[in-house]
Amino acid sequence: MFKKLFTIFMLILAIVVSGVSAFAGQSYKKDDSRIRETSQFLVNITRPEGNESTFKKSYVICGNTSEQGVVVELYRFDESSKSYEPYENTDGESNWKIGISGIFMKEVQLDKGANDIMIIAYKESNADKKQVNRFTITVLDEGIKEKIKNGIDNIGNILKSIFK
Amino acid sequence: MKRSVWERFKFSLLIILIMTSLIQVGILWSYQNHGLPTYFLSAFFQSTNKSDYRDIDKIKLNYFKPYRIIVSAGWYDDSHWLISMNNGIYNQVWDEAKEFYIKHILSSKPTKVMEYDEIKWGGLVARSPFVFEFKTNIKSEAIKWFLNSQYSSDGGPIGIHKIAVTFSDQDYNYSDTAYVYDGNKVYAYIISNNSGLILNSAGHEKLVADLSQDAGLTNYSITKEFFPGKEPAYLAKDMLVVLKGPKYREIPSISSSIPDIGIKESYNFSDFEEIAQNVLGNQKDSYDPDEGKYNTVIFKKMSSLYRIFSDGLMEYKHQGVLQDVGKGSVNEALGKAIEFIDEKRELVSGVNISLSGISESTNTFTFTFDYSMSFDKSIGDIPIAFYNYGPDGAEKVLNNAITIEANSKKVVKCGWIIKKFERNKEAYSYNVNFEDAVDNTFKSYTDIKNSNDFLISDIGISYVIKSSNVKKQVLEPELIVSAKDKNYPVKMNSKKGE
Repeated sequence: MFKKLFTIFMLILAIVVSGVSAFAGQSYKKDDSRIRETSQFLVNITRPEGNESTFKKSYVICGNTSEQGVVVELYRFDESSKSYEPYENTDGESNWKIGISGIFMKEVQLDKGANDIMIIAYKESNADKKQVNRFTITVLDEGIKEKIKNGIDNIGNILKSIFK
Repeated sequence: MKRSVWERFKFSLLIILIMTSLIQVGILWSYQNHGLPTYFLSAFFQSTNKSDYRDIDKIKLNYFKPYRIIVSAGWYDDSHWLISMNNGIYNQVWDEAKEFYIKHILSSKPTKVMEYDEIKWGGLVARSPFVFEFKTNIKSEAIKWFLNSQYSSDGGPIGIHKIAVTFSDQDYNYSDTAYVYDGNKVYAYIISNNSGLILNSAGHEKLVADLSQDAGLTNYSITKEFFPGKEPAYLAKDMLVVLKGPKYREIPSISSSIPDIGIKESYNFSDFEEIAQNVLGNQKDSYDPDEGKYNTVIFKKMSSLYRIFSDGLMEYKHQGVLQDVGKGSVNEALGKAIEFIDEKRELVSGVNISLSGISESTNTFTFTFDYSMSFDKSIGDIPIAFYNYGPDGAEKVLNNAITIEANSKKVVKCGWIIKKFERNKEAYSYNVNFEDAVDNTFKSYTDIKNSNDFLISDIGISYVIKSSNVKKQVLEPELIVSAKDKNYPVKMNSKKGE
């Protein structure tokens, strides 16, 4: 009797655990057919809006959905393993469930240069139907920002002196 | 015989005259100070230190302060900082804004008038080096009065709710520009007399360099930077939010208690003197004290009445007949309201009092004022909010620290929640993250998500007083979610003892 109960318990545990880990925490090779890019049919990713450049390493990835029970996973391409690896936000999460508000806003720390990011979203109740989107966020040197700012200031000063 | 009748007649007339004059004196006396009818002599011997004389021109500016001054690096998706009222920079920046920006705005024609577009305005706030926000749209006429300034209403804003300042603005030939939002439209003004100020490009650059070095300051973001389109429709796009850095921040609790003005559980006649002195000051002799229902103290004269509740609520009511002169101008009414408050300003200590709302009815203007407490720069200013506050017997439920109805001649009604506030030593860590705040709001108020026109216009930290029944209470910081016509208090997750 005890053996039977133990077997049933272990079976249930195995099913639950396999369900959770089906997508979270795994790596994907770039040519993996499971990560073919899709439209944003489930989650509207508002940041990044496409491939972006920024001056700050701190970056907030955002999106919103009207559906409930949506899970989002975050990956970044790792040059050494040549695959997309789970990418933790500043709270130490690489996947999360979108709350009742329907929005998510997660801060990540980018590396200087190009960061190849992948976002996977799916409904908990239908984990097979995944939304996959990839973006490149490039962290530029702060010096470029200064040059742009100085350029704008110079144009401004020239125009101000003309209109004086 | 004839003479005797004449004398009797004169004597009777004299008695009648004396009696009627006594009645007349009695009537007048009830309007005036009690005591010997020699008060007019004091005018000749009055000292120059007139404690109840108030120079409205000097005091009025204490109540005209922006709820927020936001300084930003001036780039989209860059750092934004709040400057708290007790930071010396606040007054410096605000003084410059009044003198060189607002006076120009009030006296000039706008360069361009635009329809308000929520998304465009959000983008403007995100890239503006300075943003000034008032709790309410303050009418241009009232601002003119505050600043003793000329005001030309020719095509200008009806008031000022928010101002965004840009430098070398590409849309205006790289000029420095002030954008004014009056709750309806956006007005652009080119500013040219700002050299040498903090409110110009060089001054701003230096200020940003200082603020960037200050690790203690909270780094804010603007919602437009993360939701560039219309969705989610329930979020305003110009909100200042915390998204970067640690989610949990240390914020102290405060204590709110009954002020030390002599309020007791029960009174005898001698107890009234202390309250009268504190509340009425030099006017105390004009009022008759009494104990009222609901454990209140009443000070009454023919033309007005004060009721002091045991929790510190003070109600004032003008009792005379209001002459049908209309409400008059907003600035005169505001002047009466500010004079009224300033006379009793010492009843509350440790808090700032700022104008937070203006509305009008047929015969009066209603002004609301609210408290905020200033902490060190890492915490900034935290407003103290009142939520459906009303002890038993109160005339109405209050949602502001001070609510005053006034016309150009007098204060007609006032409800003032007088409390003593103290900072507690305990400070716990509270989750200030915006995403969690919005989730908690929807969890706390499940019906709002289904409402089509629900729009969160602001989320800020406040201390909230909901109950008037507790004599002393510890107030922990809470979130106040501001929607169209209502505020929603939401508990913040905390890590106690850490």
